[in-house]
Amino acid sequence: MLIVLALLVGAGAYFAQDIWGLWNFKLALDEEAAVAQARGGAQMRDLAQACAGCHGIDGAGIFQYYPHLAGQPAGYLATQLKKFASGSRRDPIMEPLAAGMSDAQIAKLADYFAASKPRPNEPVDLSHEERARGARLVAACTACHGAALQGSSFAAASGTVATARLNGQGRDYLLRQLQAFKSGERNDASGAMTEVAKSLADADIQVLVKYLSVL
Amino acid sequence: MKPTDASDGGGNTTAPMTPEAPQNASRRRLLHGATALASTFAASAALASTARAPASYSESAGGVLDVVIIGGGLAGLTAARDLHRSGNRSFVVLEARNRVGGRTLNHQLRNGYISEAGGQWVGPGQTAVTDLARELEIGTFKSDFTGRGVYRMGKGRVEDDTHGGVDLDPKVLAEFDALARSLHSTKPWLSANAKELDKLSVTDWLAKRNVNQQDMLTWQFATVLTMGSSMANSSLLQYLAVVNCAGGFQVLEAQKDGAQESRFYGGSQSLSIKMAEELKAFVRLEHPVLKIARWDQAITEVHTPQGVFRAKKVIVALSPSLCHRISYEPALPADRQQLHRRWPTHGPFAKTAMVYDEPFWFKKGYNGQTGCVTGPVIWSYDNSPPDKKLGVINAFVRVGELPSNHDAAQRMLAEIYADSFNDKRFLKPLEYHLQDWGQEPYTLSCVPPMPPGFMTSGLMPALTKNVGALIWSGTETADIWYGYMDGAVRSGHRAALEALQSLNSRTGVVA
Repeated sequence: MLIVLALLVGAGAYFAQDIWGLWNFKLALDEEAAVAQARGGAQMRDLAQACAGCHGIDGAGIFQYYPHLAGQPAGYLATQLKKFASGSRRDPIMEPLAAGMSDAQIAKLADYFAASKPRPNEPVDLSHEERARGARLVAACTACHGAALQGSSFAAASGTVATARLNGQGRDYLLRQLQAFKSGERNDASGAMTEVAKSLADADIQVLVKYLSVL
Repeated sequence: MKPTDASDGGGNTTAPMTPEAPQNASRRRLLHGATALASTFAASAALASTARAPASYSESAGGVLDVVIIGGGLAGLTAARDLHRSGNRSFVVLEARNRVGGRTLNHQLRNGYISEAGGQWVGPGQTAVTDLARELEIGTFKSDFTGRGVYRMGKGRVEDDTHGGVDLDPKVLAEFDALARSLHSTKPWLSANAKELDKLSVTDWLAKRNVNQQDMLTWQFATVLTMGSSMANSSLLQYLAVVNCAGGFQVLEAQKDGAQESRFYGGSQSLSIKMAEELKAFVRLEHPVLKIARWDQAITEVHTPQGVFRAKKVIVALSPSLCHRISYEPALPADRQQLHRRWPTHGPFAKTAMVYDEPFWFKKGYNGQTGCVTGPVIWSYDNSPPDKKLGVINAFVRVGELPSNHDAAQRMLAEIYADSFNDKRFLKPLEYHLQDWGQEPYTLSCVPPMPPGFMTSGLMPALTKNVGALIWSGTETADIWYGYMDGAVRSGHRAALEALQSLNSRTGVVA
């Protein structure tokens, strides 16, 4: 410990560095390594880093266009990755990425992001009226997506179905998905989302995604 | 001698008649002069005839063009320019967007200044793009990296003046360079040790070499910025191959004497803009290609919303990711389909520009570079115009870490810069711009981050194997500097040559 401090002081003096800045850097690195170790090791952290650019570090993004992965049910994430891999869900960036993943990697990533802590989403202006309307619209979603829209899983004829966490999700992302369900570009096994999306007026969709994004 | 005004002459290609001369000697002198004059007129007339480019694609006999070029970026426009220079006038460039330049684009700033939103730098060895720029009379100037950069992680902070190089253990770099040199020069997957190197990630290789924490971080920054993904997800073989192309790690990664050394006056997009200006109606904007049909026949049909273009040859100057967005009838050969499906498309990159009155950071000894391990900024750098009458800080960002709200994002970045460089002046930018390439359906991705195993999976040969009338082009297909603007230009030259030879040889359809 003393030797390291001495080396740092030496290095600091030589490079005219703020040695506390250097020391804090080292501490930050060590802390990050420790956190990574607790979460499955450096290899796991490294695997997940491929996703950080768009989805945020540990999938806890705050940009509205790319989905926030942190806190999503693992089963939901794994299903979506498999759908991207097979092309049954379309996205030009995700398809080749998922196609290159092994089942083990998909499972590991799904668990990793499921266990990651989401961040409060970027706020948005919601009028009193919009808030009330949003609360009304969202009531129909809780049956499958959970009372707090935190995502859920339930048994169905086809097997276990996992649904997405909707609370705190990106607005632009939610909008695109509802539009995709409406147009048939995206579908779920039960067909329920297609029905739901078709039943929503465009104006309602706009309010709903805002409401969900700051829940 | 190059005529500068393409609209000179009235399309008259014949030499002016020489007047009757009383004696032979003076007649010869006059003829001499007339010939010289004639060649001038002929040259400007040839260029003037471009002003009369086919107004509709069906003007040529039977409505069939020699070549359709898909993509109005550096590759497609270089190919078009070459076709035009060869004397061919039976071609068209179809560009989906309402602009040219592809992955080169200028943010428009105040007072006519620009900041590059896409590919921007050139360096030693990138002779194809720098030669093209010279021919287009576009000059370059050196990037300014004078001063210290700041590296941040949590409360941690390290300042470093690397003098335009990358500060890494030279022994490790020497070994990396030697390994890079051992590769096959243009097809790295054919190297003797290809499989073994492709199995490893960059992290795997470094882990065995006693690299200290700070150096590991530097390697991480370099990999993310050059390869498009983190070290653990980047194939060692791919990184070595790009280093080999460049001629060494520092040549690839450095600013001084390296690939990030210079920028173009007017920004890199001006190369494409200039080429398109010269080509005039040969370039059709807002013509997205939806389908390519009968590519296995003598005449291919290229379908756009504006109608079908028919041609003998099609140069597809698009990344494989974009090739995959087009439908093909009949289906492409299995190996090409696989390449399309698997081509890594998750290296979209997002770049920001923050504008200030002047580049005040230099006077305080900072070069405007800050590298942050967490948060939205990956790496920022000075991108001020060469006259320094405006200050610009560009940054590669982790866009997921930015709020979508413009003002909130501007505030977040301004605070990071103010903090990194200890200067409250950063808090009051004049302008902020963001370009998120991942959101662009006609780009999707910048460089392809190949995970370990991809390059030796057997997919790569299909990248440059032309099928039927289709000639693959775009920077990814270049032998040298693939992924770079230079590679794009090379691929354009090569595609034009292949098209011309194919048209000339009358061998019909190539299976």
